[in-house]
Amino acid sequence: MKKVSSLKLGIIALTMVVMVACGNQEGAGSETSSDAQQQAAADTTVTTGSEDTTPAADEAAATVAVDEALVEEILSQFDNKTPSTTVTLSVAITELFNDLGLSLEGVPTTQSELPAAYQDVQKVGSSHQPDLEMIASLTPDAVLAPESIKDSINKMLEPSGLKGAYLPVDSLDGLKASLVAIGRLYGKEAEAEQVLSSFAEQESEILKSVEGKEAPSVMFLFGSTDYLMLMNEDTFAGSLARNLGATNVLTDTMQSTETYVPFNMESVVEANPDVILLVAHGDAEAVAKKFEEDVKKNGAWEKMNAFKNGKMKTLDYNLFGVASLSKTPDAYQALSSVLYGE
Amino acid sequence: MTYLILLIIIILAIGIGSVRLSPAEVLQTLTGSGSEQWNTILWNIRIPRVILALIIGANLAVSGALLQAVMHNPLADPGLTGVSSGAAVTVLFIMLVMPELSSLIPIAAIVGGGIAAAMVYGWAWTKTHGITPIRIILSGVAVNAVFGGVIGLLSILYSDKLPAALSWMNGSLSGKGMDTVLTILPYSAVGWIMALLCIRQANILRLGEQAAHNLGQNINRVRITLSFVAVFLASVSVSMVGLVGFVGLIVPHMARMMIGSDYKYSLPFSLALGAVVLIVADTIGRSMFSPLEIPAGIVMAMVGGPYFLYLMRKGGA
Repeated sequence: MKKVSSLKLGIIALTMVVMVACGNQEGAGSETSSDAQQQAAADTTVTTGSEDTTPAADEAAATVAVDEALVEEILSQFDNKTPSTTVTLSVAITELFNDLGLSLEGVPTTQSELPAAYQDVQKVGSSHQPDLEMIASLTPDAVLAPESIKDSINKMLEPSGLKGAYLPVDSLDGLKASLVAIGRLYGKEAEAEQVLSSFAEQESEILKSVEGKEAPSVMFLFGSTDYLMLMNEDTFAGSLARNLGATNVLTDTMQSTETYVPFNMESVVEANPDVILLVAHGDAEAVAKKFEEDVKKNGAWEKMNAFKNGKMKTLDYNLFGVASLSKTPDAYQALSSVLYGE
Repeated sequence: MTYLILLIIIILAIGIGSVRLSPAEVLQTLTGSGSEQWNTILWNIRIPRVILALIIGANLAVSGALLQAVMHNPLADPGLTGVSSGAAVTVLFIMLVMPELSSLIPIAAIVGGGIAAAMVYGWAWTKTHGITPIRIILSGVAVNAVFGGVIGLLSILYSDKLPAALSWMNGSLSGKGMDTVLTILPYSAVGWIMALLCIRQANILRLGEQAAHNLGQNINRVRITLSFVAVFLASVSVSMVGLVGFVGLIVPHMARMMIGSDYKYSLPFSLALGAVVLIVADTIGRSMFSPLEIPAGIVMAMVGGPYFLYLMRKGGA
C-alpha cells in the first residue's frame, strides 16, 4: 500500500510542486494561522482594521488601484523596520524585487528562470523544503514566502528563530499590493509607482484591443503527461483570461468552486469550450501530444469546437506557470492572440 | 561497541550539513563560544535534527523487530499494523480539510494509528485460535488497502492543498526543533524500556508456537503485548515526522545478519542501528544535493536497499 500510494503521491507531487509556484489562491483559508504577527501591527500608520481581504480581482479599468488594506496588512508583519538582509522563497517575490532593482541575499532553488540580477546570489533550497541551515547562515532579517504556504513554512522557520513574512503573490491584485508594500518598506516607492503605472498602461491597451469582441469560452488544463487538471478563474492564467473577457467553463459550465479539478475527458467533451489551453510543465510538446491522442482515441475529437477552430494551444510555461507582474503584459498578449486571433 | 559507533556517527552528523563548519568552529559553538550565526545553525537546526533522527530511527527499528517476532515473518514492518496509513488518514484530513486544527496533528496521528491497529488486530482475532500471524498479516493488508484508498481520495479531492501535506507524507525531518525532540523523547524512552522488558517473550515467540506452548506461555497475550509496544513506538514516530518507510523493515534484518537472532542482543543492537541508519540517511539527504533537501525515507530506500542486498548475498538471512 505504501508503495502504491507513494507512487501516486509522487506523480501528484511533481504536479503540485510546480503548481504552488503558480499560486493557488486559498482565499482567507490560510489566514487562520495563530501567530501574533498579524495582530501586532506595532504602530503603523493609519490602519483601517486589518481584516482579511479576499482579493476580488475584477478590475478591468486601467487605474493603479491597489488594495490599501492589503498593503497595510503585509507591512504590519515588519514592525516598521526595513530588513537589511532579505531571503525570498518564491520566484514571484524574487521578480518583484527585481522590478524594483533591489538586492537579495538568498533566492529559491528552482527550475524556473530567475532574473539575471540574482544569478550569483546564494540559493537556499526549494520553496517547500528550504534549506534552513543555509538560510540561517545568511542571518536574514526577513524570509519572504508566498502566503499560500504560510503555515508550513512558518512551522519550519520558527524553531530556527528565523523571521518569516508572507506575501499574497498568487493573484494579480496580490502581486500589486505586494509590490507597493515592498516599495514602501525598502524605500522604493517611486519605482513601485512607476512599475504599476506602466503595467496599467500596457494592461489597458490590451484590454481595449479586445473590447467588444465576442467572448469565447475557455478551458485551462494544467499538468504533465501523466496527470492533468483543470484550472478555474482563481488561478493566475485563469484570472488573465477572465480580464480579457473569456468565460471559464470550469467556473461557468461545470459550476465548480475548486481551484483545481482533476481532469476527466467526459467533462471536457461535455463543456465543449471554444478554446482549450494547456499550461504544461516538463515537456510541453509531449503533454499536448498525449492530450490530443487521448482525445482522438476517444473519438470525440472531431466534434470539439476547440479542435474545429484550431484553438487547442499550449501556453508558454515561463509566462503562465508563475504569477509575475513583469511578464503579465506578455502573457496577456499571448492569451489574447489565442482567444481572439484568427 | 555499537553505541560507540553511534556516538561517532552523531559527532560526524553534527559536523556535516549544507553550511560547512570546520571541526574547530563546531567545537567552539558546542562549548558556548560560537557566533550568533553558528549557534542558530547548530543548536536550533542541526542538533535537534540529529537527535530526532536518532529517536525516530530507534523507534522504528525496535517496532519492526518486535513485529517480526510477533508475526514470525521477516517481512513484517510497522506499516503492516495499519499505524502508518491510519495516522496518514487522520493527519491528511486535518491538513487538507480542517487546517485550523493543525495543532492537533500529533494527537490525531496517534489516534488514527491506534484505531487502525485496533482494527487490524480486531479482525485478526478469532475465538478458536486467538490471534495468528497469518491473520494479522491478512487483515493488515486489507485495512491498509482501505486506508490507502481514503488517502488517495483525500489527495485527489484536495489536490490544490496537497503540497503542505507532502513533506509529512514523505517523512521529512526538516524544520523540526528542540520542542519536537522534547515532546517525543519521554514517550520513546518509555517505549524502549517496555521493549527491552519484552526480550524474553520475543525470544519465545521466535522458537515457534509449539515450543512456546510447551513453555507454558499464553501466546496470545504475548503477541498482543509485543504488538502494543510496537504500535506505540511507531505511532509516536509517525505523529511527529510522518511516514519514514523502510527503517522498520530493514534494520532488524541487518541486526540479525550482523549479530544473530537472539533478541537479547539483537534488540538493543537494532535500537542503536536504527538510530545510526536514520542519522546517516538524514545527513546524506540534507547535505548531498544542498540546498535541495532529500527526505530521509528516499535516501533510506536508495542507499539502504543495495546495502541490504549485499548483506543478504554475503550469507546472512
